Amino acid sequence: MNLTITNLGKEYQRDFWGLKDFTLDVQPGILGLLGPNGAGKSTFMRMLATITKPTTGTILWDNDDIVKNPDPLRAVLGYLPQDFGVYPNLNAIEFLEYMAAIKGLDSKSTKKRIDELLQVTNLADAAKRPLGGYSGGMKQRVGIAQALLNDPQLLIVDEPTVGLDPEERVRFRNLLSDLSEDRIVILSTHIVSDIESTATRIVLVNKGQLLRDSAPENLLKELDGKVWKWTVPSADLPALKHKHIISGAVRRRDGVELRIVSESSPHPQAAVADPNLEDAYLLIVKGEQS
Amino acid sequence: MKTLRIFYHLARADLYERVRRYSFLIMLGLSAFLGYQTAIGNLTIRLDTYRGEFNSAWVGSMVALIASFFFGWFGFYLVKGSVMHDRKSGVGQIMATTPITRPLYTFGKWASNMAVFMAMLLILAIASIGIQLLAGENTNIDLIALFAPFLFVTIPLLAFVSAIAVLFETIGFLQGGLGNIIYFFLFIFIIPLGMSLEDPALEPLGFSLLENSMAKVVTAQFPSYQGGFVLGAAPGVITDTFVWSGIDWTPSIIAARFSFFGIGAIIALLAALFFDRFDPSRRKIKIAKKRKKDDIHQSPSEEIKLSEPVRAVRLLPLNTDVRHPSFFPVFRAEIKLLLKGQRWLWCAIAIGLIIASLLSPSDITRSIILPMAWIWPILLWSSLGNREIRHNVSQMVFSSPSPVWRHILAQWSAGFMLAIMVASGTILRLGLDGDLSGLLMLLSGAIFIPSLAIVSGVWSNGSKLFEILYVLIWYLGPMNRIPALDFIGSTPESQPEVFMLASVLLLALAIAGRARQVKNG
Repeated sequence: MNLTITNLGKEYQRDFWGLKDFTLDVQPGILGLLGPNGAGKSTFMRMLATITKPTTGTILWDNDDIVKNPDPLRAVLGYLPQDFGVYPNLNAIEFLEYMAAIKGLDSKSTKKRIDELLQVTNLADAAKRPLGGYSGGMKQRVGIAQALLNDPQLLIVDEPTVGLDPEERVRFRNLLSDLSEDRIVILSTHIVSDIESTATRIVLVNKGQLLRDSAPENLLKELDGKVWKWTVPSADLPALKHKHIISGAVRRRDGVELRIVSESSPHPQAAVADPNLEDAYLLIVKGEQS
Repeated sequence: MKTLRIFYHLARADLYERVRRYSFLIMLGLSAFLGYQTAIGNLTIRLDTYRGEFNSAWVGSMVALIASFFFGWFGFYLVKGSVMHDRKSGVGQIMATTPITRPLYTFGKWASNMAVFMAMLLILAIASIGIQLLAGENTNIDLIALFAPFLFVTIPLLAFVSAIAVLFETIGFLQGGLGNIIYFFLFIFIIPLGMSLEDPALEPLGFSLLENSMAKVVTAQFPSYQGGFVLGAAPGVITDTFVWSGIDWTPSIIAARFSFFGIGAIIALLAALFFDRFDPSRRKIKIAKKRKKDDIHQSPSEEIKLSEPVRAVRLLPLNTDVRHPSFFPVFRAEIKLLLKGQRWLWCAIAIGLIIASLLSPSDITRSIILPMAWIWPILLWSSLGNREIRHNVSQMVFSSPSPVWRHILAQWSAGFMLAIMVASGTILRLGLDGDLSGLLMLLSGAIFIPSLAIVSGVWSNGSKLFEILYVLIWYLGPMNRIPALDFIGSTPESQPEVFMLASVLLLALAIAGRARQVKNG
């Protein structure tokens, strides 16, 4: 199981690239995609999901070119788009049965799989209600279930935890970790904590460019001694925001405790703090922007 | 002042949003096409075998009446959809949080609908100058005589139609396909009703008003004239022409015509009463009721589950090969999806039509009951080819194996099966009568309907195009016995092979359209 992406690019208009020169070799595990809005994450995922044709480059799935011949990948692909809908008159079981048929599952496997997925996504009790009456979080869980119907070898999930409550988010993260043992999971999100707790590899994207491809621990190592905690009076905050990259601010009795990402100590009173992925993300993306 | 400002910006933004859409180009194209057809003489007016000299009054009135007829009938479908667009785009939810009132919103939409019509009408009005000059019978351009029919006949009608479009959009059951079909027949029935009014100026289309004036001139000049007024593609020999200098637009006529603005305003106000102000709770009453009923039998799992600790979840491996997906499960799923959500009354009427077609004599079955049976599922067929886009499921479907051939053919087969199902009584009837040619014709119809549905759905990304096209073909063909459009075979001159060939082409176009959708993501 191997996904090889070489010089991938998508030009939407003349000289406007949604993604450019993207090269990656992906093995089983969770690949976390991080980047600001409009960075090119969804474009990248749609190309992997065989929906959007790239302008340049190749995508090989086990040495098959999926641009020329997408069906081998489609048979083993699970995809949860960022923005999707459901058929409002169907209930969850009927919708999943429909998607299972489209994905080519036989009826015997379908029933068992749907029962399992409804348990896993905590939808079993609402399974016979029309989807039109589902909340946003419940629809998202139906989306997750359909992505897992065919036991995909490549699972692509774009902002999967949007609309999920904290408990469902934890449940989904655990599920992803479990699944990633023997398949490729590509996860895109703005919620850094989702990636922090699950990803075995992180790719940072901005303005269609691949900024960093690294294991989370290596990213964190880069930040050793570059994250600082400093408590300042509230009134100083606006000025400091212009001066430093601030990755967090917590109100305290004696002012505001800032978390600052900086090569050198911002102030003699500032103390070194343990870095996290949010700090790394801000440093790399903001560094790129400035 | 503030209200006027809101009204202006609401109508302006709505107009900008529409004129920048691809569909607006189609509207302008339609106007240009009508102008061209009039210029080359394919669309015209005649009174029995007489027509007017191509002076400004005649050309202006002819083009204005053609615009009234086509924009009044089909323009409704082009302008309808603005409220739905606000609903779907989510802009409506934002608007609902502003101080905008319901009447202001519906009036804004009414004005915007009219503005769209005005743009289309402007093209025809300008084209009418060219038509008069091109004809060369009278090159003296009298702008008042030329444009007055547009101003006093067409524009008031379009104000009326614009308001009806807003009203339809605010009433739940008229928003979708059912509303489209109801309007189609409403328009057909409104013409003769309007023509029987005492004051011809109050007839919405303005036909009576202009016809009466023209007929007076013809009668005076040609005493043998016995009446008869034809508008549209009017083949027939023109034996003579007459000079008609137009209508004397008296204040009472103008007032009567402009009363349609008043009627439009009342309709827009009425629409405000029905408008839900994008409050989903008003639309989801039925769902909520059903949910409540379900909850009696089901435990309120959400709350209980949320308080449980997070369990570790595992999925078992799936031991099935999906590398060569088969056709039949998709076909079965499509049939299920097509029929899902139909009320018992819908099924009862469909079964009633099947039984009636079996028990009635063959000629009644073919000429009346089968056409009824094949119009009844129109809203089911109209979902073919577009429901993936409409319900935003396309990314999931298009990233599945064989999204083009397998899926389109499964949808088509489901549509075909539906046609066969509702025609099953007729099939038995014809079979018992040994009417093989009737069976062949029926088969060609059953093939034609889903082909037309799927190609319309795929290329328009919506259900409206099929609903309009199909009703039009159904009305002209099977109901009015025009052989070239009779896909049911209610006339002996019907040609099943033509519809079969057309179906193959339509299906090929649908497949090409879906391949394009999949390619473009």
